[in-house]
Amino acid sequence: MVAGAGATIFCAILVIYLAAYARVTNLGLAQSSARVHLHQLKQENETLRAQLAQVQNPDRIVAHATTLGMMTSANQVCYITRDGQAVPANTNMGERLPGVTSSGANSVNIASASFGH
Amino acid sequence: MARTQSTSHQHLSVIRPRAIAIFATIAAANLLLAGRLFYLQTIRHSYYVEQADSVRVNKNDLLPKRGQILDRNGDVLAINVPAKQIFADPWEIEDRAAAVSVLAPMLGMEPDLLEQRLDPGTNKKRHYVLLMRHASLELGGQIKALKLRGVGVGPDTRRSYPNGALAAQMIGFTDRDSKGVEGLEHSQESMLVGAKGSITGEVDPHGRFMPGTIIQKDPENGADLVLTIDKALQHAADMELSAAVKAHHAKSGVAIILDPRNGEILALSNAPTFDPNQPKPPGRLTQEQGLAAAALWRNGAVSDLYEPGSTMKTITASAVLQNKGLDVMHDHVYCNATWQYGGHTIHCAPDPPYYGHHGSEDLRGVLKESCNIGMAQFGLKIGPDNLYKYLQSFGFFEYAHSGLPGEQKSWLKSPDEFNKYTGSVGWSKIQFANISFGQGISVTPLQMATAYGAIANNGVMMRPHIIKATRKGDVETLIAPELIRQVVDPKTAEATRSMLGTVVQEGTGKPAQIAGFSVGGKTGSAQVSGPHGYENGHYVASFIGMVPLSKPRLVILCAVFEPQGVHWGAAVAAPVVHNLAKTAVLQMHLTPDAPELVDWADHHKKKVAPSHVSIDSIGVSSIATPED
Repeated sequence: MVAGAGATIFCAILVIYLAAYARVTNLGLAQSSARVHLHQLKQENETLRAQLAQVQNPDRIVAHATTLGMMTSANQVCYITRDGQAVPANTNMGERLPGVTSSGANSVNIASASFGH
Repeated sequence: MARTQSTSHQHLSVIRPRAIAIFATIAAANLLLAGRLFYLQTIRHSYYVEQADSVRVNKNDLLPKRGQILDRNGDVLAINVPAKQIFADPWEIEDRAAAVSVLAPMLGMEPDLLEQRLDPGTNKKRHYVLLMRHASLELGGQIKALKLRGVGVGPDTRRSYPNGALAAQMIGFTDRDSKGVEGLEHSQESMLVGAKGSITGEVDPHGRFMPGTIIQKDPENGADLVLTIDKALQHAADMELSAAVKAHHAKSGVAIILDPRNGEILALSNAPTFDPNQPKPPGRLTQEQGLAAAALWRNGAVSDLYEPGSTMKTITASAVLQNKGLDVMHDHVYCNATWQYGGHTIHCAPDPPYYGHHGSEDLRGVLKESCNIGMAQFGLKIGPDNLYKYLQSFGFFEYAHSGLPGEQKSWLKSPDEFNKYTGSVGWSKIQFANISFGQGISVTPLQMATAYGAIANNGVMMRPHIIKATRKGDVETLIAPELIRQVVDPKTAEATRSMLGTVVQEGTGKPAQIAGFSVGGKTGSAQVSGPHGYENGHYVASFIGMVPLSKPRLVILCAVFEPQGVHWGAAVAAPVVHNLAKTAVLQMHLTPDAPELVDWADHHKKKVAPSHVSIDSIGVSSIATPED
């Protein structure tokens, strides 16, 4: 009777121990797998950051903008008047300069001028 | 009985020496063993512990991540890209021909070369052959999937510069082991590199760490560097400068954009330039090719000395104003195109279209017309000692300490030192006259920009700097702007700025005019000296401007070295400053301070008289202060 009870208790403890051991092993495997996944994601993240930086390369943006006709051509300068109108500087409208609030556009090519030092 | 005793004595007499001998031998042996034990356990203790640990304990380095380099807005300038390295153990490869046929196209190697590399030869220790560094993760994965015996794939890191040549000389580059070689990558190596970590523990026969014995020390990653430069402005500077250098077939060029209020370098550009992702052409280089490639790495803005020419007149004028008071502006000197002084003839622009003969002129007129003779005469009013003192005060004889490597400074001797050319103490007359208009003194472009920064900042010179902050994890440490000194009084600085405004509105600097903003600046067209004096046809065309002149936010310098054909600063360098100023005021959302001012391009096209608005008549202080 006592021996039977002892065997039962032993078996129960063994089952609990094995179950816990299996659980710990599974968790260990899951943790290991998660670590590998985390490492891969970190690498992917770093690669994506580098790719993003490459996409933001100003040379590339300028080249695309030029292809799409979004760049101002040489000597194309606009002034924004107080009433919000864009006035090309190389037209007679440019005479309305007292109303200028801001200047626009980018590169302006100036023909070589001969001046002193 | 007596016989027995006699026998016993005989035995003893035989045994005793033997016993003593045996005892002595055993004692000596024990002593030797004890000595050996002492030697092994005490004297060689650490050695044998180390030997035992080397078998039982393993230690692997954990490498830190190199810090990134970012611009002031957080845009990436230098970054680490995860990569793979491909290696092989030649003795482990079973079918070399098959391995070569599969790997050669993937690695982009010649089959013969790969075959040679994978040949184990007779060297039994040849167990590691590096086949490729910095391979992409995809390629690493593909090679790993092949499961070729004897071929391995390991972790690696590649330093990448995603903007290509942008600010290449300033940022520099690393070698293939990610160690800084040039530029900030080199000078800030200790900050970027971080500290190694380690993982230590007992290992099983397979070399695997045994649980419970592992001691891990995490690596300390390098700090990120946040620079003061603005990527957009830097790109504009790179583009405009390279276009000018190309258009004028010049040897090289430098452009700097500086915030005079705090000394932040917003852009620093050199031309010609290189791509730090591939700092030298692939393959074997001849010595000449190697030197040519290395010459492109040089940051001329801080490392190259040049004679600034007429841009130095602003400094001389400022020194005269500070020393003699503002009333000196009403003094007049006379220019007759040539002036005999100190046994030499000083000319005022002998070449067309800008002949000298400026006649009677005041200090403003001297700057406006960039008159050498007039400036030398105004310089004489303060003398060499005072001029040297102000040059010193403007920082030309000290390193800029901007954080950029390879800085140079002017080595001009003071007037109280022995002059080997004259054989006496002091500057010669012609030397003094030359220095007053920027010849005979060599400075770096960054020193010139910093000196103009002091004039722009009401006489307060700020330390030019390139590092805005360092970032470690979430902790950002800002580098505070450093005030160097008050060089001249605010009134002197304001008067000098007013004269620089006149130069741009009415004088030689007209091509720097931009619409809506008051611009001040000075042109320079300096002769280049060689081993046998000034060389014909070799010039430095430069322009240094500030905008908006009423409260300068930007000092912009452009110097183009040895342009072919036209060599005037107004024609070669001022348009670059003009374009950069236009871009910068838009980029920084500055409010126009002088809406009535017109862009030079419009004057040029429509033949509008450029002097219809004069800084003289407006006065710098009466121009509305711009808002950010």
